[in-house]
Amino acid sequence: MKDIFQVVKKIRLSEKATLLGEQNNEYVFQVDPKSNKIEIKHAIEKLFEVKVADVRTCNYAGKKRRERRADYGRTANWKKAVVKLKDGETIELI
Amino acid sequence: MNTTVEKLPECLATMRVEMPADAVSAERDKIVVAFTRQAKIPGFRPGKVPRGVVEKRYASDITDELMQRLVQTGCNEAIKKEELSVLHLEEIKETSLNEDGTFSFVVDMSLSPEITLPDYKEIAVELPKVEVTEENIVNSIERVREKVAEFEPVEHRGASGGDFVVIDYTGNIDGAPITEAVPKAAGYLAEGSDAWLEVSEEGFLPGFAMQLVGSAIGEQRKVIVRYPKDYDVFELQGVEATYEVTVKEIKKRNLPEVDDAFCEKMFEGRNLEQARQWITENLQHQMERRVDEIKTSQVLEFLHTNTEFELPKTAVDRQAQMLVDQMVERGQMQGIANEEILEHQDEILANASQQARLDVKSRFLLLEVAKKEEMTVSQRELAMQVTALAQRNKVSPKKMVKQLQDAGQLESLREQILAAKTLDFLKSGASVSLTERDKAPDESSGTESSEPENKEEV
Repeated sequence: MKDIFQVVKKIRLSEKATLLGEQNNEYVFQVDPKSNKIEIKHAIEKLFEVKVADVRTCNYAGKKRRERRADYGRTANWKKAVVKLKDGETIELI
Repeated sequence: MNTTVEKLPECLATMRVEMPADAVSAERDKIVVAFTRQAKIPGFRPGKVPRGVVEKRYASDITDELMQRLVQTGCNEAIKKEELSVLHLEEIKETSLNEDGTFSFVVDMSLSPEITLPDYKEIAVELPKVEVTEENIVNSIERVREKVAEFEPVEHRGASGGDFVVIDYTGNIDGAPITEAVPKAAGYLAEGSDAWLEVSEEGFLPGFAMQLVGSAIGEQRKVIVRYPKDYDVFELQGVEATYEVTVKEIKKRNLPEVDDAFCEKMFEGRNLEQARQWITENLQHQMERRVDEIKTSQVLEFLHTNTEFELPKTAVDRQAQMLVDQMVERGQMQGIANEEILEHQDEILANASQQARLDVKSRFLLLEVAKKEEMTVSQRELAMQVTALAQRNKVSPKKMVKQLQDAGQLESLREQILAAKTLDFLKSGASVSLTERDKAPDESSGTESSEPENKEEV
C-alpha cells in the first residue's frame, strides 16, 4: 500500500472542476499515474476524512515542449481522478 | 454612519467615523465583482473565475482596496453630514475592519477658519498724487550726465569741492590698524588703494572727503573720522579713527552739455524734447506702479486690521517652510556660507513664520471675499497664466501643464489667480483720497550709486 501523500499530488482547480463540485459533489485531483482507484479512494478518505462513493480516473500523456531546439522533450504523464463523495459529504478546497 | 467631531485649537479637528456593516459589505461586493472581471487564474477563462477563488486568491488586495474606498467615501459623507469646510486632510489613522462587519477610522484634518468680513466695498485708501515735476526730470537727466561724465586730470592746484581724488588709505584706531582692531569690519573700511572719492560732504565716511580739500598730488594727510552712533558696523559706532591718506591723482569732472546731441546718444536717438517726454512717461509709470503697491498694501492692511480669526497651523507651517527654503536658496545663490545661514537660523525662522502668518491670512481673506462675490477663474485665465509661466521657464505650455499637474500645483495656481483677481476687485472698489505728499522714485533704472569710492574705473 502506497503512502497516501504519494497518491494525491494536488487539487485541480479549474472551471470544469468547479462545475463538477457544484453539480455532482465531485472533486478533481491530480494523482500518481501508478495508483489505482482503490488506493485513491483510501487516500482521499483518510486525507479529508470523508466517505467516497465513486472514483473515475483518466491518464493524460505529457505534452510536447520545445525550447529553441529542434528536438523536443515532453512534460510528465499524469493521471486525473474525479472523486464522487457520498451524499452530505464535502471538502473545503478553497 | 456614526461620526463624532472634536474641534481643536488652531483650526484642527479630529473626526471618528464608524460605517455600518451593510455599507461595508456592499462596497466589498463591488470590489470583488471588479476583481472577478479582471482576474487571470490558470484553469479559468478570464471572467469565469468563481467568486470564492477570487476572494481567497486576492484577499489582501481586496482588503486594501476596501479600506481605501471606505475611508474615501466615509470621509466625504461624514464631512457633508457634519457640514465642515475642510482645508486639508492631515492624517488617517486607526483604520480597522471590525469583527461585526463595521469599519471605523479616525481622521485628523485642518478646517478653514471662520471669517467674518468687514465691509470691503469701499475701503478708504490714502494715496500720494501722481505728478512728475520738473525737478524729477532734471534729476533723472543729471544722473545720466554723471554716468557719462569725463574726468580731466588736475595738476596745478589742490583738490577742491566737487573734484574726484584717487587715494591710498589705511585706517587706525588708537594706533592699531582697523584690520586688527575690528577684524570683522575689515575690507574697504580698513584700507584701500587707488580708490576714487568725490570731495563732498557725502563722500565715503562723514567728514572724510572734506578734509582732503586743498591737498596736492603726492601729499600725505591724516584724516580723522568719528563714526556716527548709528553706523551699520556695530563695533565702529561712535569710534574715532585716523586714516593715513596718500593723494595720488586729482580729477575734475566734466559733465556733458544737455543738448540734442547728448540726448540722441543717451536716449536712443531721441532729441531733447522727445527725451524729456520719454523720461516723463517712464517716471509716470514708475510712480503709478508705486502708488499701486501702496494701494495694495493699504487694502490688505485694512482687511488685516478689521478681521480676527484663528489661522490653520498647518497652512502657516507649510508657507513658513516654503519661505525658509526660498530664503536659504537665495542666500546660497548670493554665496552666503551654510554656516552663516545656520547661525541665523532662528532669525530666519522667526521672520518666515511671521511673514507666513500674514501671507496665509491675506490668502484666506481674499478667497473669502471671492467666495462672497462669487468670483471664479475661467479656463482661459488659467491657460494664460500657465502660458506665461511656461514662457518664463522656457518649456512648452503643454509640458508646463503636465508639470503642474504632477506636482499638484494647478489648484494652487488657480487660487493665486483668484486672489489676484479679488485684490484687483477690492482695489477698484476702494475710495481713494489723494494726499499732497508726492515724491519721485529714488533711482531711475540703470544709474549707479554716486559713491565712487573703491572703484577701479568710473
